[in-house]
Amino acid sequence: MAMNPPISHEPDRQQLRDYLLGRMPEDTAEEVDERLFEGNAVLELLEEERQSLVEDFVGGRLNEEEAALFRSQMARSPELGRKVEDFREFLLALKRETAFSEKRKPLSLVFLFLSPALALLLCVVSLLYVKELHKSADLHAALSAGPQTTQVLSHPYAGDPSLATAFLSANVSRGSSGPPEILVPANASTLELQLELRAPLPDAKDWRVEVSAGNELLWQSAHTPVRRVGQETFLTAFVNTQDLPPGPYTIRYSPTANPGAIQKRLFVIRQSH
Amino acid sequence: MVQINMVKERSIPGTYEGFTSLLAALGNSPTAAGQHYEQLRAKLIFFFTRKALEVPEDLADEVLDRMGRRLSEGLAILSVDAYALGVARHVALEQSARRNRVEAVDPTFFHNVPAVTTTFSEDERLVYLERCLRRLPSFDSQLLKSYYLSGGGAISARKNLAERLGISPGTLRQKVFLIRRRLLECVTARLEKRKSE
Repeated sequence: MAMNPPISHEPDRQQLRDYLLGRMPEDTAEEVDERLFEGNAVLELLEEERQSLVEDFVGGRLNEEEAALFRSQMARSPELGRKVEDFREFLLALKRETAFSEKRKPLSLVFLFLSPALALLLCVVSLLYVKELHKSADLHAALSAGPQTTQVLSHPYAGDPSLATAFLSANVSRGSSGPPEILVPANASTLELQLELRAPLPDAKDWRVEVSAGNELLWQSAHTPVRRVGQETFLTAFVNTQDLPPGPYTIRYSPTANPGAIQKRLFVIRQSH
Repeated sequence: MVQINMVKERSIPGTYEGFTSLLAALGNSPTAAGQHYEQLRAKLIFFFTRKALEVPEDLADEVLDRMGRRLSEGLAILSVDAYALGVARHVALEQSARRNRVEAVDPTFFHNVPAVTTTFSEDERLVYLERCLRRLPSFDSQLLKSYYLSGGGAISARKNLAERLGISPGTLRQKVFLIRRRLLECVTARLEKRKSE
């Protein structure tokens, strides 16, 4: 048995280990006993060293004598035996968890690379969606505004008279609250009304068109030909602007061959400055 | 394989009066008294273990039992811990004398003694341990693996690890013990929850 010097201060690791294994000389061990029951400092050191002893025993790092002493202590103390089993279990869990983490690593790597790509894709899709939303809002606004004000194109010729063209579209928004307004330039003397037919009859080539203000007939044409531009079909009426002072008007139109199939549209003339 | 751990339940020593008298002497609040009780019991176990006496846990309880009885009889004790050491020395002497009279018994004989309580299976504990390990902060988990698994837990490997972290080996050891204590608390809490279900 090794001879230990008397303890004048806190025992060192070797002394703690000797005390724990019960191989410290009795007089020195009694000194440690005294220190142990004086406060909690030695208790903490002993608990720490006992844990190291358990780890070294499980790890096979104790020499033969130490291992034999420790084994005999385990046989006497159920709590010590349980501490050893707990540590074995902890090591096993740690190894299993490490193996589990290693297995998951390749999958984690896939996600590591996949995540930025998915994020980028999400950004692009979001951008396109927002763009489409704006576009849709613009279209909606245009559609809502369409029936309110009809665009007028001026065609200034050399000198008078000048011609202005207005399109009365067939696509009238359901939300529109009033008839379309035609802003006629002050210098226009002739208004070309382009009237789009909603359900053009393929056989009706010749149409009767009338423009009236209330019950007063202001302009008429008994033989207005249809004009096709792509898939759209128009009737064109040339009206003297002097006949259409600012105010509301009704335009009626029907195939000459079938006067009963009459349709009508309302519009308002405004003078622009 | 599922193996059932059979352990002997720790008994509260002595009479109820003795136990409450002891707790009153150990601390002003139930928490302080409880903590002091556990510390004193741990000290006694270390003492009886180094004396190479059988079942030091039972001997520690015997000391606490005797102290409780004396306190309930009205004994005034100035230093509970110092008094405990005195009683422990006396119990140790008694045990040594008894050991000399009794034939040596194979310690493995007691391994088959039926247990009072049954703990959870090792598999179940292991599952909770793994779950708790996964719940640890990444650094703590890595530290445990480096400390216990790298270099087979050799002292030189641990010294290297401490150097890499810029701390002393002692600080590293304490840090690791703290993490393990948290881990144990996690496992205990889960097992308790499972028990109450």
